[in-house]
Amino acid sequence: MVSSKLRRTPPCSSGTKLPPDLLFEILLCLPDKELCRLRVVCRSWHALTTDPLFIKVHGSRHTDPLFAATFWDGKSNWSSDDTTHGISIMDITPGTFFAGGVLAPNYMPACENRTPTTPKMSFLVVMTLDKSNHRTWRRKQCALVIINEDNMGRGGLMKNVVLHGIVYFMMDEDIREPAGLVPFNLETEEWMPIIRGPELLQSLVGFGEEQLYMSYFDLNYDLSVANLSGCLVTVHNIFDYSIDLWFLMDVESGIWVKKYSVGIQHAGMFSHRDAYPLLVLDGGRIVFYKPMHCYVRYDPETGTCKPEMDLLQIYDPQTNAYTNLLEIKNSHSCVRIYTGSPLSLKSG
Amino acid sequence: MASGSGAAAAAADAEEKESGSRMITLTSNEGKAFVVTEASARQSATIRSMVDDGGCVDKGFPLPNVDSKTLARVIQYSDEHGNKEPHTVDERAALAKFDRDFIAELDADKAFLYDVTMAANYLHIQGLLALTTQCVADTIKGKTPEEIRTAFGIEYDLTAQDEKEIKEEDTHA
Repeated sequence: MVSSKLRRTPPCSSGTKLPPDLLFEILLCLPDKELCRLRVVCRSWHALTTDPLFIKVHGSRHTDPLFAATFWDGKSNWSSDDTTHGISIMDITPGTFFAGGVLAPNYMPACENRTPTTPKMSFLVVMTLDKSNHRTWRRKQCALVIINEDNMGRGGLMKNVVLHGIVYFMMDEDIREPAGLVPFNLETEEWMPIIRGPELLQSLVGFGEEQLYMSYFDLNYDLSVANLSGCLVTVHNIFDYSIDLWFLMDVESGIWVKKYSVGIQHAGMFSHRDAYPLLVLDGGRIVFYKPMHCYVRYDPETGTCKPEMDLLQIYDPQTNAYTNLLEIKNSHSCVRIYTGSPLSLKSG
Repeated sequence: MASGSGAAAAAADAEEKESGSRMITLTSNEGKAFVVTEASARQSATIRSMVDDGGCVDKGFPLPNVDSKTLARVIQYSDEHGNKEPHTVDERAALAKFDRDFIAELDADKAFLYDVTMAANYLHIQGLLALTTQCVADTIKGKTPEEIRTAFGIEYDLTAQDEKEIKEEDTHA
């Protein structure tokens, strides 16, 4: 009985091999980035750090937020075949993009509208990855004209968001349903009934003194959709004034509640314009992504203009101030939260 | 069946109350005997399960994988954690300080750190295992793959082609 439980393994001494279960425990303590780097130590380290069980346990221990950004090599345009593009994963250590490659399964839906003769006909293209990391693209016909090239939106893909396996597309300038969301179920690949936007937003359009927008087109330009703490959020960037965050409290009854109205007085020039919330931290602090690369800064020392860097900033509602979290390289954009593990990413 | 498990639970309760006073002998692979309180020995899930399975207690437990030096250090940890349950904030702070000093001392002697880590793993002492594995992981951080192979006596068994593929798989320029 004793000998069966106290199994015999070689006596301990330095230089001897670590038993596999102990190696498992030790490697669990290391961050993703280190593990990716150390896969070349030997076969068994590589096998362990790519094992799905290990990746699962590791993910449950390391819960610091990771951000995903799209990248492309910039040599040719986004859609051409010889362009390298995909997703980079980064943590909040400055300037460290450490994993990358193709998109996680069903991560990002792409849109296209390539049927000019029948403008009412639009397609959603769904990309999936099978187990061998092989990408396939399928077309799904859209139920409504909701998506066009402009749907790529401000600073990137902010007009749609993925939540619990459903993509929510914000409707474009549709007078019947301003700020409405059209859900697409990625598993069944079917469209679902429209979710109406916050009613108050509709009353902002008109020609009265109280009304901020003359047309739904103007309103639409200031709207985006986000996922914060598992909740759908309509983001309303009111120019020079505030960023309002409307949370969808109940999908069935379509109740939207304005939980935040973030003042922009300390946000710095321009940067609030396209600010997009990514994450709610403790104390109600919010991580904002601020795409800045369309703005240039004049450098008086060299006499040249350089594009601004995109920023991740933390907004603290207690102090109403922003602090910088991360500057993002200019070859990257469309920053979102990454919910998978970078250990399972492979380039394709 | 119900009364049976009730009786077992009562017996376990009685044993629990008694456990402070019972002594248990642990024997290192060099044959050296260490007498510890049951509360201290119960820090080890391996020993705990054997004690709870009944028997064995009087005969003591031979530990063929742990040498005397390592066992003495492990017992130092389990005495501190098993014999005193921290109740106040001060007591908890004192225990945390003990852990910090304990691991700092081990950290200075890597070979001994690995021995204690393996003993903690073998004896399933959860707190000690967490403490030591984190310390070993911290040593690994920032080391090159070659330095790690040397430190852990790992044989390099990848071909140049393997290594190239792994690197390509995991990163992009």
